[in-house]
Amino acid sequence: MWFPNAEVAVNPALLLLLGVMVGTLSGFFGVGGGFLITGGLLVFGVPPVFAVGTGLALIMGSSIINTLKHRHLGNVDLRLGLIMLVGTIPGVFLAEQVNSSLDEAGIIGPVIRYVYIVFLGVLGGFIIYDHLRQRKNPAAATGEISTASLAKKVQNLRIPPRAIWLPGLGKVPTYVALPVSGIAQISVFLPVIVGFSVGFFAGLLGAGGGFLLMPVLIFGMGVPTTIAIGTDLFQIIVTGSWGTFIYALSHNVDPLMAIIMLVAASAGSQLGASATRFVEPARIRILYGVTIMGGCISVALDQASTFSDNLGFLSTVASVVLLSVAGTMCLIIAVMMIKAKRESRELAPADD
Amino acid sequence: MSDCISRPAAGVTLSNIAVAGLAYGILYGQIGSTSQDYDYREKTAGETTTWPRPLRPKMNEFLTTYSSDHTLLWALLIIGAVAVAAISLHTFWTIVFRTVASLRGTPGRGREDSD
Repeated sequence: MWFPNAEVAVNPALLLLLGVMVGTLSGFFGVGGGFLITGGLLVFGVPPVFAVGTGLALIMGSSIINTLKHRHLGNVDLRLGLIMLVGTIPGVFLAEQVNSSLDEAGIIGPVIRYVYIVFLGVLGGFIIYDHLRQRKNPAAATGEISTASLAKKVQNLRIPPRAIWLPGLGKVPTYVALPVSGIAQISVFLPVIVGFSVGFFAGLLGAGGGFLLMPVLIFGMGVPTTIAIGTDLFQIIVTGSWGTFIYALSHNVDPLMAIIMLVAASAGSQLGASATRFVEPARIRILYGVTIMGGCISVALDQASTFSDNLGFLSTVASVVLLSVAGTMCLIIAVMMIKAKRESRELAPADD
Repeated sequence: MSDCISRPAAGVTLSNIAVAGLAYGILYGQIGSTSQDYDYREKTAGETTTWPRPLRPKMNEFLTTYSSDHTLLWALLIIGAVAVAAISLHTFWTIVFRTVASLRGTPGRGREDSD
């Protein structure tokens, strides 16, 4: 099928397959899946700049579908999401300025890849370590994260002032309760700082930032895993929309390609988002850790391919690794959901 | 690109028109690629050996010309189209799940209604 904006012909079946994978992983992990979409589209022969732009459009659409789905499941903390947005928007703007400076210096490509490698490696490594630590100590394996005490300390941080004056609103308290996330009281400055940091790195990397926000909410702020997934997706709508707008202004989005993938992603989203109800949070976290470690290896291979002309093939290997990990994860999610549903059906008569 | 061909600006050189004509031919599958710049198409996954022809030429023309003529509107149109498509797809799946749940005789126990 011919895509006139990207000026490329791609088999629509491949786009549908990629869309299903993105939708499933996005709904299950609460990430936009930018690294997966870009890698996949590059393998299909889409020019790099269109791969990023069209990917952002898919991230935006897919996060809208997933947020609506998770909201239905009661997994979105809108109050937390809106507070974080106060920081996310200036963070994205600042990142754009930094991006322009890096672009002028001609080092944007390697910088982005190295930042990606560090983030994905550290986050993936930490999540896997957390899981293994819990498995080694069955007495402590209550499903609670290893940083629970740290998260409590973060929630109890007292950041002055306790109230600020806002025009039209008067004196507004800076401490709020987030009942959906199970947080009794927290300073609004904390989610704003988190939103700003995630917005900055999302803008810098040209991604939705979900892969960063999800672990920060879980391990740093102590937000329950499913709530973190839903709230994270709500944030991605904003960062994804902004990215899509910027890329569309420079004619680097193919809407036809994005819509085709979105149709398939909507089907995958139903599987991914619903699976969060049946799969244990600890399992969601370890699968997420493995997925982003796969992403880390893929980006590292991509960077290695730039070292020498002879290593150019590593770029294709990187995309194949990424797609293989994503495909395997989708199958695991489907199998886990089917198993969990069967078990719940078997238990149902006993409950009655 | 096609707009450039139909309404060439004053001062456009003959070589520019020739290049635009060649690009037009490649774009609409009338002639094969002779340039290295278009080699990536030949390596495209799942592609057949013949040049793909646009299914709806009018739509393709709209997509290519509108994006270059009305940049801001084009960007807003993309955002709007993706958002509308996403909400429509969510509504579609909600209806599907509710219908399936009611057909199975478990109203309110469907995935969408059980929360």
